[in-house]
Amino acid sequence: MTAEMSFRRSSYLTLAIASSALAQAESIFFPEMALFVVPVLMALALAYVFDGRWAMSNLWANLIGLGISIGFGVWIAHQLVHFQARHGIVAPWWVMIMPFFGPVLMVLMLVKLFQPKKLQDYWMLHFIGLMQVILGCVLASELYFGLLVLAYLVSGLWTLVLFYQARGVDQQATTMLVLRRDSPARPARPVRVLRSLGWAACAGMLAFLLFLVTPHLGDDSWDPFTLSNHRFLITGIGSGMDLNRVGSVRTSDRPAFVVSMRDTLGRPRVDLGLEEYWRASIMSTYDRGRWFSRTQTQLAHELQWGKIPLRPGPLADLGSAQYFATFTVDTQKVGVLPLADPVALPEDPYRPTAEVLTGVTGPGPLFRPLDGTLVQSAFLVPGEYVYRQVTVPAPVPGYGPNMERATLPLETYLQQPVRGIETFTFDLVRQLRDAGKLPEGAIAFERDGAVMIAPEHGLAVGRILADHLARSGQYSYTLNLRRQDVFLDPTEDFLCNVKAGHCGRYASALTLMLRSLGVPARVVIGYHGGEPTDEPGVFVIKQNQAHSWVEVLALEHGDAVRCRWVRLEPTPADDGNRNSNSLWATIRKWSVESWYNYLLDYDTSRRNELFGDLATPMQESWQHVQDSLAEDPTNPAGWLELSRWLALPALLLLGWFLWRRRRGTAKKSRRALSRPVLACYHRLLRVLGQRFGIAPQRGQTPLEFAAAARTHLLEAGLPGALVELPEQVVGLLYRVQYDRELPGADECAAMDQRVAELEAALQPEPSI
Amino acid sequence: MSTASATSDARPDQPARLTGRDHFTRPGRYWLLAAAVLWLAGVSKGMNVITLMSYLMLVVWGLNLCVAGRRFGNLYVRTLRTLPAAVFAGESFPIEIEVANRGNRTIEGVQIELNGASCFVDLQPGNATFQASATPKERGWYYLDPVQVRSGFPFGLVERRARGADIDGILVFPALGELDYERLLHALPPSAGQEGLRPRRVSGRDDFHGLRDYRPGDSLRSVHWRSSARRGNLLVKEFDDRSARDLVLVLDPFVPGSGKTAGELARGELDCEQAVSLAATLCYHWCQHGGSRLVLAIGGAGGPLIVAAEAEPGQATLFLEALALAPGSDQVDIDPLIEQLADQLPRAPVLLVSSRPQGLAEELSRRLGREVLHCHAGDGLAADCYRPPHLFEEDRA
Repeated sequence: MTAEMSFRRSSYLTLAIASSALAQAESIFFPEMALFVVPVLMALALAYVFDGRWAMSNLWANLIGLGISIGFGVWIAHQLVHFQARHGIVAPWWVMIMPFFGPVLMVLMLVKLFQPKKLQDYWMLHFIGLMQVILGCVLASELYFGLLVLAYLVSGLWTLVLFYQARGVDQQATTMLVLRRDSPARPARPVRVLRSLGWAACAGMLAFLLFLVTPHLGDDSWDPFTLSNHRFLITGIGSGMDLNRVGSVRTSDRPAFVVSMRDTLGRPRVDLGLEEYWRASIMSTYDRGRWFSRTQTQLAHELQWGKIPLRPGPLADLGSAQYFATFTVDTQKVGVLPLADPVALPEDPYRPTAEVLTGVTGPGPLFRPLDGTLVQSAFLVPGEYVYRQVTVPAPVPGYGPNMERATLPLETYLQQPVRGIETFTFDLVRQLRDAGKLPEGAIAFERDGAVMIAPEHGLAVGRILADHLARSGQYSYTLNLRRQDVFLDPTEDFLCNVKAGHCGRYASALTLMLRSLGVPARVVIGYHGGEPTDEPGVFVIKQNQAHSWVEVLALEHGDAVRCRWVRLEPTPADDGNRNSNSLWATIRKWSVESWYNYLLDYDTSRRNELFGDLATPMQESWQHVQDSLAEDPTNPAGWLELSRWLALPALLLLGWFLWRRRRGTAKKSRRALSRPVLACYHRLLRVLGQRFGIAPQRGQTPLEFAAAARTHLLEAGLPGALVELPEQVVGLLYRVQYDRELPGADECAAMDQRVAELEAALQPEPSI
Repeated sequence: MSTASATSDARPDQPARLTGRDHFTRPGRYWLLAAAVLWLAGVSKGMNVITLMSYLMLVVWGLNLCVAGRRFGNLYVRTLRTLPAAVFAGESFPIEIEVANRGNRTIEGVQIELNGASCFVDLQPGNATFQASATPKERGWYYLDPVQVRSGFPFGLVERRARGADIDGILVFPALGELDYERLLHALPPSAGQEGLRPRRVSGRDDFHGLRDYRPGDSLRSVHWRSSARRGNLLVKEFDDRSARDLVLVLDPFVPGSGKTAGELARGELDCEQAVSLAATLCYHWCQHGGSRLVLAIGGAGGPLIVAAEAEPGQATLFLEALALAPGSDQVDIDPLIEQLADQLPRAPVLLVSSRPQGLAEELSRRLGREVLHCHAGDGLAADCYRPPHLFEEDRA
């Protein structure tokens, strides 16, 4: 196969991979891209088949291009209206239109493919392909995209090499230098894909190393969901919750915060932490797939009107059962300040249950009570905060503090704007009632298909619904979020169609279902669990332990005045790791974690961790050497340690020295072996010069000189064997000088002997 | 970026070693620009995949820089001397170059260029020979560009280019037309002391040439009686007169000066070249036939040039070299030409080849005391004995 044919084949392959990669990246914005890319790939295959046989005229190509441009313009304008609402993206318009370029690029590529094209036009085609991949890099978040980019790298480099070869062949096609048949050169052979695989591996490793060592400007990573570089970790805590997002949820094993648990006497509480809940934000308002907490402006208003004391006193005394949790939180990583659950509410507003120890805060306390819990009342300055909380164990796990029902804005916790969820919930409740799973009298009334639950049964119904979501088997846990009907509300789509998701979807669904039944409920975002450290009573909570759950408002013993928030857990167990011991699952997990940790979420702190880990053992080892030798210079252990340090450079030096020596020896030996041939040649020159007065002229090569000498020898009437001798000597010389082929000593000696014979034959006969 | 020439550390009779320099190709420059833009966008917006992509592009470019022409140090190149004895304008001649790869590994993707022709090959260890041809359009010194060797393998984003040693100039002789030598001899004017215009005489001193009809004045001794009896009219024997083949050829390479239109200037130059070509054709044929003496006088602004030699095949180069380098001029001074020519004027017809219609024929005839046959380059020779080379036919068209 010629270089040009190989190049064309690899070109189409590369373009197909680029289009697939872009379609994969765009799928989080346009799930229909999976369908769109199929005709694109088919058109690519058609273009490959018809390449060189048929092409559209430029006029038609331009007309089609114009039509497509107008069509896409209308489509973009139409989509852009709904795009922001559909995806919840708040970004400048020029950023928001980026996903729309994907289909445009694909169609543009096809138009260019079917146009008449010369070899140089492939630059433009591959530029479009590269643009597709770059756009994909901006929009992508999944590992599959990374795999496609790897394939693109291999195929792209292969194409680049073949393109270079095809251009070279094309250039020689017009006026060609003719290569002699017996010459040791051959028309350039098309490079095989395996070689480009090697180059891709080499380039990939070097580029990745450069990427790892490059300083980053901060801890902000690009978030393709929001098309901005403001950090938002789905497995961490942000200022809100967006259920419109699809794709794989990033997992991060980075520490989120550290908490130290001690009792009144300062003794560590080692019995806590593992099953502890840490609450961070309360989500009360739902709007088109997004949850919001009660606004900071409301807190600022209350602060202004004196409802929040500006100068709180010491921490409240909660009795002998109280214990203290001291948190160390970097708000650059977490965003909000978590508290241990349950949160004890202060009876005296001037005696809070949480206080800041270090950290920059605004006026007033760091936390203040709101709707039966403590919430952060000040705007945070990014940095590390250390604060302390006093609390007591809940009487029943999951039960919040007792409070007056009248103090709550119930209309907020009953807000439910999605009609589809109402219908779904009513149907479900009726099914549960028919199945006898609801307690007697749970349904307060039923009219026109609507169902209302009696307030005293709210908690029980909530538990039944949570149990239905978590254990009915109809719903499953996954971090790979997808949508089925993008025109539905995402929570409704989850409940009715997708039936798989992470804790955020379940918490959102249960909350809206309860609200549909007239039961106040809310979503709580925080963390669940923790890992003990070497220090007793100190726990580290990681980003991937972020969690969300539901709190339902339960009446206190049927009392309509007193109530408390009770935690419900609707999320099913993560059974996605059932086969986690298999090799494939291990590789997949490792790949996904590496993809996020060392590429998408790689930042300054990760870089410091990575290179700090590498540097620390070396620093410690070197320090150990220094200390050992400083203490006792005669200590052999110290010297042994030092020799380990010096071994590697010494080995490198030795290797370099041996390599140089070997190279020098080879050169010397080649020079030594070529010396007899040169001597033979110079002897021939001397003989010919003495007898015929000839010598190589300026610009005359040895071979040309040999041909001239042959004429003289012929005229001198020498036998044929001696006539051929100059050309044979020069042939030997060329073998040494050009071909680096070293003749044997016997061959040199034989040639020298023949030159001696020539010299003897050319000796003038003695006069008698 | 300039290319490097071959080093001259080798002996003159050995091929010159190539030392190349890196050259950023246009795609390579765009590639680097794209990598830089991506890097800036990636780093500033925290788009890690974009940053990695920029590094990939940068590393690919760097790999190309390291690999391209890495083994050029093993390459030696020389031009082989396979030129023909004479190279005429409008005729192609072969060129051979030898590229030696003295390394022990193949150098891939090498583009070798010579005189507009190129070859894209993988050079295996050993000596490879390439052939091309060149067709000089004009007379004079012709210089071939040195051999260019370049390689951007594997990606073509960076190229290493090297240039072989300069190739000696080649003197290109004027283009030759087609000449009917015998007809021309009949058309030439008589030389001083000769009886007429006939180049052949009916005397018995020279070689027998043929028979012709008797003319008044012919010697009866030259009548070929047997043939006359057979034919029924008198036929005389005709003999070649070697002295009648001597020729004085005066070239007037006039080109119009200032004050002319571009078309007129081009026409004038073409006429001048045709005149030179006609003179060269005459000299070449005179030398090929041999046995006579040829005097070539070339007028010019810097003074006349007179070349006089026995017209032998080996002497053709002498006249052709003078004609190859004869410059055209708008100031051809006749006086020094006549003065120098008068000193060595042989007993031979004088032929003036000029690029202007009304040349110097009359004055030359008067001052030399000879009849001068004037021949204008555009009109060719009398008696249709000359056909100009195809080169000029194309130019005139």
